[in-house]
Amino acid sequence: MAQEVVTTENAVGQSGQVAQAAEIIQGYDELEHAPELGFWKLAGIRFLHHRVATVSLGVLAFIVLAAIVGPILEGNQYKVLDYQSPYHPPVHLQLAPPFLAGDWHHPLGTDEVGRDQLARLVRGARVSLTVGLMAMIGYLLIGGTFGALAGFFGGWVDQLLMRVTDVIIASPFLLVVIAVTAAFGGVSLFKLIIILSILGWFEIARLMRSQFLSLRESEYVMAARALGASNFRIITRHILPNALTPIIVSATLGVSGIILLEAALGFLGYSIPPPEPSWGNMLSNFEQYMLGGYLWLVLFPAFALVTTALCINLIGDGIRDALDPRQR
Amino acid sequence: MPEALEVLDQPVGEVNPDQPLLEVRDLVKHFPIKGGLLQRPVAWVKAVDGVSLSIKPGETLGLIGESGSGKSTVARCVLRLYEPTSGDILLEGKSVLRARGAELHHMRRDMQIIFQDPYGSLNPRMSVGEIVAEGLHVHGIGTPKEREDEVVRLLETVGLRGQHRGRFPHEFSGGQRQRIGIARALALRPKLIIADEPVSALDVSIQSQILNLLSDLQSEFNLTYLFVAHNMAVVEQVSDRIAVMYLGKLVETADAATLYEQPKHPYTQALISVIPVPDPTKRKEKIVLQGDIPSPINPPSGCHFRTRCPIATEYCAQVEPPLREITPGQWAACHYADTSPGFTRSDRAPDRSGEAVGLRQESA
Amino acid sequence: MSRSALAPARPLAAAEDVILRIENLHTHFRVLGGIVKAVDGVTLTIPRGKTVGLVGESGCGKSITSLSIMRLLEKNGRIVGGHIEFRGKDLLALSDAEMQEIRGNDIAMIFQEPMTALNPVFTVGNQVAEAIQLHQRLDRKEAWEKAVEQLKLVGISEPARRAKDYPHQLSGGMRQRVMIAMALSCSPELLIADEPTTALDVTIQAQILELMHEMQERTGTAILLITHDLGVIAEMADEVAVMYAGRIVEQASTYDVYAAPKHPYTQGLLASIPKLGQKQDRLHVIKGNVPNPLSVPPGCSFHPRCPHRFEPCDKAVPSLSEVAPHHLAACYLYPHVHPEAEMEVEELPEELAKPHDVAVARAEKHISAVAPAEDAEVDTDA
Repeated sequence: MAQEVVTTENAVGQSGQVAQAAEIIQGYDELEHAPELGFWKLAGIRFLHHRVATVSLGVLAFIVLAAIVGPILEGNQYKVLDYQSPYHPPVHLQLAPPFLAGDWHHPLGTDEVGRDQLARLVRGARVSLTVGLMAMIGYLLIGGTFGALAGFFGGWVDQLLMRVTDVIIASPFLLVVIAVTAAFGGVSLFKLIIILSILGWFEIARLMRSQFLSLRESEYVMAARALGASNFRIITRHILPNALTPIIVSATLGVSGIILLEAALGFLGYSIPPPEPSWGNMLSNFEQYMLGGYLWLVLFPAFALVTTALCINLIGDGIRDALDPRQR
Repeated sequence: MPEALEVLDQPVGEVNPDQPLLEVRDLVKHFPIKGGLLQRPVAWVKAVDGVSLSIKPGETLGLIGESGSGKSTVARCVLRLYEPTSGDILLEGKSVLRARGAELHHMRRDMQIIFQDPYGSLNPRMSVGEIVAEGLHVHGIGTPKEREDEVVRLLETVGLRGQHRGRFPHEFSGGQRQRIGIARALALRPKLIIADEPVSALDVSIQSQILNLLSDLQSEFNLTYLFVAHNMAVVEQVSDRIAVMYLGKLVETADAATLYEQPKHPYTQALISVIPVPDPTKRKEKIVLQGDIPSPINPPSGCHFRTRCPIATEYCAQVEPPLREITPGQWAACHYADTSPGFTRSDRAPDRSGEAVGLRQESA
Repeated sequence: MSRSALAPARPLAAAEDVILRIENLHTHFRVLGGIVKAVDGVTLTIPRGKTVGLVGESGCGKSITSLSIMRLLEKNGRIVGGHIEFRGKDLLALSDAEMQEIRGNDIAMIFQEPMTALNPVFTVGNQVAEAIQLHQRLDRKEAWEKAVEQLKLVGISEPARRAKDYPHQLSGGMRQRVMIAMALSCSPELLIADEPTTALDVTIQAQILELMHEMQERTGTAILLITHDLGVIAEMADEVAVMYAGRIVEQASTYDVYAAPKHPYTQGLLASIPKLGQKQDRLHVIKGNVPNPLSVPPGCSFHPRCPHRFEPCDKAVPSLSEVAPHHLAACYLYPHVHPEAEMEVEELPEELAKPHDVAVARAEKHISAVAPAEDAEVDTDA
């Protein structure tokens, strides 16, 4: 195939006109050094401007740290039964001397079988956060795929996938959980994550679908098609990275929902079985505790739940503002 | 097995200057409007309603029209970005619409597009280098190193610095982004480039830079252009021949000079007369068309232009005028095209069915 | 159009005939990254009943000038210096309530995108009537009737029926007519038209321009026409002011600006647009890009792109002075043009900055962080 290959260099050299187009303006190279403020860096800066979100991030970080480190330090304390010291109140102030009462071995008190509440609380944190994170990943994988395919292809694919979604939405959540629990003989962390994932991905799917529906009409997608890009490449390389913004926000806010859901299930007895504590199942004897006046046994898990959920929500708001300031 | 980069530089080969590079035959594109429970089409947007044109190699055909004319739809159908309802597109004699899979994939190398919106046409999450190299990547041409070098060369060809290939689109101005889009289109060394309003979204002082660039590239790379726009002055500047569209139909084609000096179709005449000219001393007779552009969902019967046409008659409502050759090289779709030398108010009563119609003539 | 465009230069208006006088206006914006001097010393007068064109490319500050007049700036923007006088009243000293009396009533404004400027949940008749009701103290029925009359005046056929339509039911041209009806319903003395026909097709644009001219003849309203389209200006304006990077660089009657432009920017601009019927081999080019609003070049902001720049150009801002009879330009090439003293303006506090980041600001102003590099071309003489 001996053909004369004409390269761009020759062409440029031969044609005065294209070379003419290459005159450089002197003196404005300072603009070259303008910082490359990438999208994420800029978003990070905006997030930090949001004081409430930053503080919430700090608090959440503390909770996560406690969840990781706490159980390591406490070891098996969470399940140590101490019938000698049931219903010990936590460390508290009192009017009569000594002004600080309570047992420093059990700073947050003990429950009806003498288990240390602090140990149980930090161990429960692990459960809540793990379930929150993993179930959300499940939502993203299932819902994300469904939504992307439905939004991208439209037509019958869309109709089919959306009907499947409708089935999930219509399922009576609690009954399904009870039925599955009964069928599979009890709940474990793994099974819980699977069930939650399967029953809750529809919101992400809807979001992803609407993003894909609008983004697939973008001109850069058309340009990619004109270049010959495959559907797979267009979905993963072109649309997906641009679809992420509302997904990230929704996912963050969704985690708090999952944590509260797991707590509700725990309260009802359908979460992790004892002796493993979760903030939900720590509340399952809630009436007994209230009637007995053992308020600390209710207060601490509830407070932990509320704080965590609140922090995550506030962080989600901060992320939303950071990623799309025009949405204000 | 990646193809070597040199594959792009094959010389054009045996080119028959008389065979059109691009031929569009009776192109029709109707978009369905879905409604009802089952989402069945209840009406159709007749965006393109039977358009035929051809472009010779190395030529620039300007396609001009207002909203609803269908010009952008034609451009996209040529690239098969929309599937036409009927008709055919021939690139160098081969049907684009009947090509499938690998054949279509290969044909895409020969025809590329530049878009109007410099902000929407570049993926904001991809670096400029990745954007420009995409074509090469998708067709498996060159090793990564070769591709990178080619990207640098392309960026410099369009007047940008190769070292900026790691930057992102939002860091560039509108004119620079448009250049990136041009570099992207050039990467595969296409024979045909469709420019869909490439300068409409740019500032006036940048427009001339881009127009000159496109002209330079045309001679450099032996390109053929289909230049779609709504600005007549720009189109006249760049085109050899011009085709005028109205409501999905071609109403006139002629070469650029003739179209301006002696437009035969009343729509073209009106269009040219009302274009604001940046010269306050040039007062001209204006034909201000009344009424709005009809909807392409329900275009007027017969000649689509008759509802705003100053010389329309009953006949125009009944029979659609075919595109016929009025003078050599000049075609117009009007029953009365050859009877009016310039434009004069005719004694025929204007047609009043449909929307408001009438002629208002303005003089200095 | 009966305008004496062929007549030679007329004197710029005498004091009694002036409806709006802007003097040395400075409007600054606070963004994450610094201060944008959107309007950087603009002086303009609008004579009664005349049309003044304000022309410039994106980011030059023409829209902000009009918003400053109406005092409709966003929270992170402020007028930090200068005066605006309307019929002798200092607009900048008025309270919000007093300003509201003027808006829509004495000074009206129409915008580029009629779809977004009209409220989609109210009928067009309602919206025109609302403007009338607000300022003329008529009851609902009378206001409605007047609204229908206005719609008729702007050339909408079957106005009584059309008044009950919603904006999305009307075409672009019709919506712009509605906007004009709303604007003129209270017979304002000044109409500010910000790119009124840019979003419209050419044939519809012709209708709207014709309408605007008609309305002006009928009501004697002065018009401040803001656009980037030099053709529209040539058709409509009596006087033209050319803006670049927040300042006016040239100002004269339309005839003078087009026949003999003095400022190199104006010259470049006029030379670079394609002209119907005059196909050129190569178009004239103005090198480079519009400057980044956060780092406007020192001295004359056009100097990096100017083919005639010389020694004083980057030192101090040239004053807008008379370089020919009734023809102002801000360019050191001409005698009488001297360096302008820097004005002391108030500094905008950091807290005002919205998370409206630099990248977005750049994108909206069509300017880049990346050096213009090889955009330049050797320019031909204007």
